[in-house]
Amino acid sequence: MQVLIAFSLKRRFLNASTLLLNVLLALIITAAFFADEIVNFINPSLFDEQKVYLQVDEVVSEALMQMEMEGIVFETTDKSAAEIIEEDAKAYVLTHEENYQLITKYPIDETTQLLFNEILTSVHQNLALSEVLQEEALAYSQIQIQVENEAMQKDVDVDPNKQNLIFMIITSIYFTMLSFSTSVANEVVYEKSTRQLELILTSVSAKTHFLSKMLIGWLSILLQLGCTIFFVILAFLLRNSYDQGIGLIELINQLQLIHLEEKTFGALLGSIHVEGAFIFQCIFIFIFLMLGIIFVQMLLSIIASFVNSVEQAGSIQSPFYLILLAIYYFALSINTPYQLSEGIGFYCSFLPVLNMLLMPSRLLVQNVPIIELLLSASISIFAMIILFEKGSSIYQKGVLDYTGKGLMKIMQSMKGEKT
Amino acid sequence: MLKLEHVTKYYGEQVGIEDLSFSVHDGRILCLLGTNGSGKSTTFRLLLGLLQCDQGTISYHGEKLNFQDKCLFGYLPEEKSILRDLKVKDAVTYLAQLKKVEKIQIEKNMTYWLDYLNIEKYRNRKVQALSKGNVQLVQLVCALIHEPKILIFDEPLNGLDLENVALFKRLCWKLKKEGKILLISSHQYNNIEDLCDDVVVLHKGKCILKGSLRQLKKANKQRYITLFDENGDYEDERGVLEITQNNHSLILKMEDEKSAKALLRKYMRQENISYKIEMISLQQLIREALDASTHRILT
Repeated sequence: MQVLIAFSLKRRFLNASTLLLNVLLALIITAAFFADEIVNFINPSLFDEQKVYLQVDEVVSEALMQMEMEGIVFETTDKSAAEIIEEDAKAYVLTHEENYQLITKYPIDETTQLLFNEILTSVHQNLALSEVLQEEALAYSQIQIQVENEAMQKDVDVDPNKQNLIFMIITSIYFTMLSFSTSVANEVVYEKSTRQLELILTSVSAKTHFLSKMLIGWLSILLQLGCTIFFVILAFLLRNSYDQGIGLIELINQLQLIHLEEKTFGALLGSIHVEGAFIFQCIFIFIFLMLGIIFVQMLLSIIASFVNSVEQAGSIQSPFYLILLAIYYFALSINTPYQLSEGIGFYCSFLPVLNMLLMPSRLLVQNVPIIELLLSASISIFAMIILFEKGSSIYQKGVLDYTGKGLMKIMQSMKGEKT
Repeated sequence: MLKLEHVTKYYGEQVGIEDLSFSVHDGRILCLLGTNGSGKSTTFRLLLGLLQCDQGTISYHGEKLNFQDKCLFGYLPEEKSILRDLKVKDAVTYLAQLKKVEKIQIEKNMTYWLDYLNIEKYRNRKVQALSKGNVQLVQLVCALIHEPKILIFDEPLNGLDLENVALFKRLCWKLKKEGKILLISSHQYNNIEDLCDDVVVLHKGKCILKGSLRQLKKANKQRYITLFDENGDYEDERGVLEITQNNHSLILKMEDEKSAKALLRKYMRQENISYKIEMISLQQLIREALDASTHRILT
């Protein structure tokens, strides 16, 4: 089995395409760490504030200038609209004769137009209210009412950052699983279609070959993960030596991806307190990911063992991919605190394949009891053992069958086989 | 000695092999012959442990095969089964490593066999750059690298030119001399006839003929006369069972040697016609066995 694994890993990683892919990956990661510099190079004024010159009623003008709008600055001017735009092609000029007009050099999009409609409507409503209400009443009418949430279930954490993280994790797990399982399946199809398997199986049993395929897929993920982590660390160190990450953190805050208080990578690392619970969560997320991937790999390899040619592979495997896609959307749709705590998401987090997506989601929003984690992992392992035992004999039939009978007919013939 | 006793294999309701029994002694070459789908590949797969028998046993030197010794068999499959994007040395090394052969031994044996089969110069070349015949020779090296005691060659002459066919025959005789058991399947009966010690002919999963080729030939009294005479009329002659017209010759199937000799005496004196008289060939033996089998089924 060692020979099979070493040979396959060598073929997978030491080829021109994989090397090119990893070079591209390293470039993309480095580019991401220098995104602010790239943005400045391509479009230096991307984050400049939009200047709006006002040629409107004095009261409206004053009200607009008192407003705090992120990314928009209001200014008054005596110059004509044509002069302003000649000086600054990006400037907006707001004028009012019978109606409000926003004069720009190039047409604006509908969203910007709606934004100005909202701003002016709000200004006029406030001005109208200030005419009929006393100052105190006006101030009271403008108070922003805050609703506080008092949840009965204290241990469920609905943090928008965590929700984004869950979405990212589910998506990454799904695509990692699909990509690596597909490559294992394609390897099986290739070995079968070139009749290589007939030769290999004279040296190793079909069971060993099947198991080696699982381990190859698994080790490939770990190796690729290792490479990616290495590239990230390298890019991180590079950026840290460049400006301690100040520019990148600024960009992240500007884009409102995550709000970071810290200004440098050093400060950011210092603020991270790795708790035991977090490590525990990470370990279990990783375990469920790996169990799920092996399970899907097994299913795909069994299906692939009945495929006689590379051309056939797509049409036979695609229904399976559609099922996986349905599972992915299903996992996303039930990603709510209620569903994950006591709804269908809770129950599905104990099922093989589904637990790979749902248990990590549960771990991120609530404290999952260890017994539930172990139960879910045990169910998966148990299902995997059964699938391995049953699957390896089906796999053996499949890889040596060139009649194109298909999975169902071969399974039927296995049932009818004299023993 | 390799022995198969009442081996049966079904694919669901379909017969793969039914009640097949034969044995081959060390240092003998057995040709497993038959039409397409007759069960030759199934027999090989059963021997290699790729399939399991439904009934019967396979034993080697009196012990039931448990397929744990992966070095017992050397297999040359019918299809080109080696990775074409690998170099010859890497392809051979990979398959030898799967058989758990030591690196030093792999290197030594590889050099020997590449040299023996005149393909040493392709050692560092990719398999895909080789001709069909040379790929077949590389596959032969893969089958021999781990020094197996039993060799299974499925359609070994595919893609080989005349020179390589002769080389292959020399290899078979060498292996036979070393005491190895050779099982060969081929449709090129004329080419393998001089290799066969024993034959087993299969038809629809059943054995229709088996035994030592020499004895089978001896047991058949019929004689075949090849006459290089396209226009002669021999149909009504005594002892003529069948006439086959070839491109430049006629083949007369004669009842026995006596009638064959009588016919030759009668005609060869009169005209200057070239001829040869032969015992039944392997191809004709198989044809007769197939005809007899079909006749048995019909009656």
